[in-house]
Formats: sequence, structure tokens, C-alpha cells
Amino acid sequence: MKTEFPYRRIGRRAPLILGSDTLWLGSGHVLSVRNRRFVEEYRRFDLREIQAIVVQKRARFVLPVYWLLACAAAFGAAVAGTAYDKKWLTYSGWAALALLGAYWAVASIFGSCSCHLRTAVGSYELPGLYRRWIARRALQTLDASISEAQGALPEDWIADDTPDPAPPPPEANPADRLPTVLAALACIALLLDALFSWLVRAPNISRTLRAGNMLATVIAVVLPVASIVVSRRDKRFQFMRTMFLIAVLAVGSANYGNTVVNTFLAAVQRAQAEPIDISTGDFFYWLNQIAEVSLGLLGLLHLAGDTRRRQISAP
Amino acid sequence: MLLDCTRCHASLPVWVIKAGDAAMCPACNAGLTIRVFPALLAPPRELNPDDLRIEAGEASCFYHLSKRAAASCARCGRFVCALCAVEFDGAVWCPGCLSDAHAGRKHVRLENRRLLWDSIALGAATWPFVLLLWPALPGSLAAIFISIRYWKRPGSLIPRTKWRFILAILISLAELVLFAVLVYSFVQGVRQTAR
Repeated sequence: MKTEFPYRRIGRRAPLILGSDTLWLGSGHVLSVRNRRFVEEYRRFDLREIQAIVVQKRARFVLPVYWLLACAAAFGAAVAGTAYDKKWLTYSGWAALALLGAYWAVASIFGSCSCHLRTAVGSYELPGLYRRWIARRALQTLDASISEAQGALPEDWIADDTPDPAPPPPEANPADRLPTVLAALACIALLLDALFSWLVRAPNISRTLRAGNMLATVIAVVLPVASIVVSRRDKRFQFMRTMFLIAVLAVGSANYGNTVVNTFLAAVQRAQAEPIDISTGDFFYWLNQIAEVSLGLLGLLHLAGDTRRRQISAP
Repeated sequence: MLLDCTRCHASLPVWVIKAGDAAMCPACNAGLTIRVFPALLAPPRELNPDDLRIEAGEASCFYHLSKRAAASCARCGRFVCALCAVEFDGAVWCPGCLSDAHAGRKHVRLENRRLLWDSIALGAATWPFVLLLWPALPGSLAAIFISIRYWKRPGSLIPRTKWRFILAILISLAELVLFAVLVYSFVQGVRQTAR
């Protein structure tokens, strides 16, 4: 006679490099299974002891430092391969960059939340609930089971000793908009500078376009710096500040690094009286383009997401 | 303080917790969905010292002779005081039985770790071959041994079939056959050279 399996899976399998994590609902408890390929580790949560479940929406399209460093290394390899005419290095670099981009896109699209379970002992992250709609479904299932085990929460569950009544949310002050507007302008300036830099690569360009490019570069440096200064005490802009700092460094080094390196190479050539066949222009051009386009788009996405989240959560 | 933000660990005000699906941490602006259950409001369990005080003629705890027995262990029958009584799987257990069951893996709900022998067998059969750690002979033999020895050993707590064991045996047999063919060819070659 076939016995019925005592567990029902909640959520999805969260794949890891070595193994996977899953979450199961059994009789009277929740079972978290951590598979490490050759061994499985279990953690059980009694339904009567679960105090709360918190689903935290995760910021998408963020750039982790390790990812940026890996991208920089791959990009450097690709540019070095182009400069020294090593095709295998160029292709490897671009392939690595494409893979990193794909990884970032997948991680940003699929990892939209994390789910935490709270007991009297501590808080634990539940595996497998990494997307909002999965977490919502799992929450419905868990809610029903836990309510069955614990009963319903009383209507007037706010105890008398909780003195903080709902404080009204702060009114939107026009002055508060300045950091947001400035940040958005800085992102647009970065994108515009990328466009100008691309346009001036064409042969026989006008002096006006060249001047416009220089102006756009200056604005693309000044506006992020201004945005950093204006939002320096605002926690919400921590990510934007980091991003703008990277942008300023990248744009600055790309535009002025080209001049510095060319001057240095010219000096070396004069000293040796031999031409050196290294094209540094491409490297700095691509550094500029990638930094400006990626950071500009990312900043706008982040700002859009932040504004939407604030609108949703306003009580 | 009822709950902390899972991102910045700042304590969440009650009006945020009550917001439920549309909550937001005031400190870090993290968007939250919060479900609260009655266990959060339950007061911590406290023991009355009078319940532990033993008087003449009363049974004492097996582990604390100076404390009054409050229950008996469902497994071994020992009397235990309110401090030692552990509610587990719908019954009262004493700490000794709980510890024994945990160490000896006598109760499935006390197990917090299991070795996956089928994955180990499959790994032993495939990894030496994939990583070109030649000869893969010891790995193949080990995979066959593990597959036969642990075929009936309880596997994972969650659904898991035996296909890894079967695959490990098949791969190992194929590797052994390949190894035998190689040895045979080598010996034949040596013989022909000698002639």
C-alpha cells in the first residue's frame, strides 16, 4: 500500500551552485530543506511558534561591487585584446562581459523579494520564496495553516502599552524633490554625454558638436557631484551616491586619462624615436560609453522604482 | 518592540506592522509585507516557584531531587519537574530521552541532517571520469559498493527516487568494462610487440 507523503512543497526550488533550497509544509510544522549535494540539512518550525512572516521587497537592478569588479576585469581583457590584436583575449573578454550581463539581468528579474519567518528565538530566511508572486501564494498557504494552529488574531490586538499611534506620513515638501530631480538630471546628463561621445567619433565633425561634447562632459561630471552634495544626508540616496561616485571617476578617468596616456605615449615615442602601435582611444571611448550608459539607465530605473514603491506604501 | 525590519533591523512601529501588505520601513524605506500571528502577542512562559517546591510525600524530579515532579516522560516514564518537561510531538519527553533520540536518530522529527548516499555514489562514479582523474577504477568500485550497501537506507525526508543509485551502477559498470577493454588491448599490444 502506498503511503501518502507527509509534506507539501511551498514555493519553488531555489537553485544554488552546490545544491538547492526548498520549503515544505508538514503536519504541524514547516520544514526548510537545505541540499548541499551530498548532505541535506533540515530545520523545522512549529506552526504554533511562528510569530510573524515578513516578505521584504528587494531592490532590483542594483550593482554589487564584486559584479562591477568582474565586469571591469572582463572589459579590460577585451580592450587589451583589441589593443594588442589578440583575438582570443578580445572574444573571451566580451563573452565574459555578456555572461556577467546575463547573470545580472537574471538575478535582477527573478530575485525580487526575500521571506523571513520570525519565532521567539530568532528570524530565519525561508528558502525558495524569491519572487513576489511565489511569496504571496506561499503566504496564503502558511497563513491558513498557522491560523488553524494558533487561532485568529484578536481584532484589537494592539496592546494598550504600545504608545505610538500611527504618525501621519510626512507631507511631500517641494524642497524634498530637489535631490530626486537632480539625480534624474545627472542620469540624463550621463546618457547625453554618451550620445555626444558617440557622435564625435564620426569623421569631419563640426566645431559646434565638439564644443557640445565638451560641455556635455562637464555637465556629466558637475551634476552627479552636485547630486552627491545635495543628498549627502539622505539614506534613500545611498545607492545613487555610490553610483554617481563611480560615474564621476569613470567619466573623469576616461576623458582625461586618454589625454594623459596619449601625452605619455608621445613622450615615450619621442624618446625612443619609434612608433608604438597601441590604440588607447578605443579603450577610453568604451570605458566612457559603458560607464555612462549603464550608470545613467540604472539610476533612472532605480529612481523610478523608488518613486513607485513610495507611492504604493504611503498609508 | 514587536518586530524588526529584516533589512536594517530597526524596530518597526505598530502602524507599520498593521499596514500588512503595504508596509514600509520608516528607517530604510524597504517595502514589506507583514503577517502577524497570535504567538507574537503571547506572553513568555514563566514558571511559578511554588510549582517547583517539593513537600513531604510528593514525588520528585528524576533530574532535580529538590523539585516537585510535574509530569512523566512519555518514553521512559521518569518523573520530571516543570523545568525538565519538554513538550515534543504531542507528548512530554524528559531531556535524557530527547538527547538519546537526537543522538541515535530514533525519531525522524529530531533529525537535522542526512547524508545523501545516492548523490555520493553518483559523484564517485562520475567525478573521477569527468575530471579525467584516471584511472576511475576505485571510484567505480566505490560507487557500486555504496549503491548496494545503502540501497535501502532511508534517503531524504523529501521525495527522492532511486535513479541516482541506478545511474551510478550503470556508469560504474561501463567504466569497468572500458577499463577491462583498455587493459586487454594493452596486454595484446605488449604480446604482439614481444613476438
